[in-house]
Amino acid sequence: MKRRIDLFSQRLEKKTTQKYLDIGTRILFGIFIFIFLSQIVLFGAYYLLNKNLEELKIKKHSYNRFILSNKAFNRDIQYFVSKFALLRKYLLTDANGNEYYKHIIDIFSPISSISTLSSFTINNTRETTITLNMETNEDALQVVDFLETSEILDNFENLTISDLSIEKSATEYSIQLNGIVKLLKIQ
Amino acid sequence: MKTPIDIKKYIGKYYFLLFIIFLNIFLIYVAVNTGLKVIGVYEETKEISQSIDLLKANSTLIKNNKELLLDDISNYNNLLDKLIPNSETYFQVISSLEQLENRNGINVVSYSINLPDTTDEKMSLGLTIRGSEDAILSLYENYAFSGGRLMTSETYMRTSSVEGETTFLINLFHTNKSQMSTTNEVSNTSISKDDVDLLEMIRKKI
Repeated sequence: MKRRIDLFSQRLEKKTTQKYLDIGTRILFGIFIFIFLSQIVLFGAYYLLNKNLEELKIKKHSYNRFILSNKAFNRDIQYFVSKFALLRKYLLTDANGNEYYKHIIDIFSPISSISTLSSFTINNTRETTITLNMETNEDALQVVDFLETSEILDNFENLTISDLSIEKSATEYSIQLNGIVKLLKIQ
Repeated sequence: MKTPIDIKKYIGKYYFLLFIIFLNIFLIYVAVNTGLKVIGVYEETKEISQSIDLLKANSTLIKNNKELLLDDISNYNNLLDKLIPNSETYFQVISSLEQLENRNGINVVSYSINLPDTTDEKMSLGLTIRGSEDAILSLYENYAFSGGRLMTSETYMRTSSVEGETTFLINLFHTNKSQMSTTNEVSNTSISKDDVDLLEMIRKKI
């Protein structure tokens, strides 16, 4: 039997091991550099955040000192502002009907001699229903003409004639208007 | 002979590799620790920033309003408590309706609670009132504060003749604790001269 010894086999194994050792060393060295740089960044961030935190603590302390020196007023003003906000909110639920009624009387004053404001309704969204009564056909026509003038239209966001009727029993004409009055500055 | 030199070289490389492995493990440990510390400081900074925002808002509120309100704030708070009481009782309602009658010369014939519109902050009442034209006109003019507290009317109805008996819808308010604003909400509020004038006007009417 012929026996052969491969003299290069040992050398090849050594070469492969050396190759892997070199690669491992390079990779681990790369990881080392990466972690080292990350460490520097983390230390930097830690230093800056800590510095910022110290500044914030000083700031907080000074605010606390100011509030403590105004403790009684602080309690009162907190209560005041909360309640006053509620007052403002609730006042907005009011229709301010009387003010708008006076305003409507003013708007329709040019035709007050030929028409009567028989009913007026308004809600807190300023939706209005107005009923005007007239005695004659001519008066009714004049009122309709007046409704198309800027004197009326400038004071409403929208306005429609929802009903125009003649009473059966009498010669009375009635016009019902629906619309939204423009916002009035109320004291 | 080359073999002994190779062994030394291998051993040196192995040690170097082991050294780097341990160094890396150590650095990772330090980095994780530093990272955790950074997160901790960041969280604390965030928390303090939030509390500073609140304190700043509070301080601004004090600074903005101290000059205008300092002398009168307790009186204004009492006035606001009268307008919007912290609780609602039957006797408070009756008392304000009586005050409304006396101030305007009307007679409240009856009242009914308007349940669909009544909430935990608002009592909606339908009043049947009787009185002279002047009395009813006075009510229309002064209902908001002449009952000794805030009253609003969401719908206003008026006919050419107001004499006799008529129906009038009013709302009475009281504070529901959940409606009281927190410091956050009131933060930048500044009370203006107009607001103070409004309170003074109410104080005269109430």
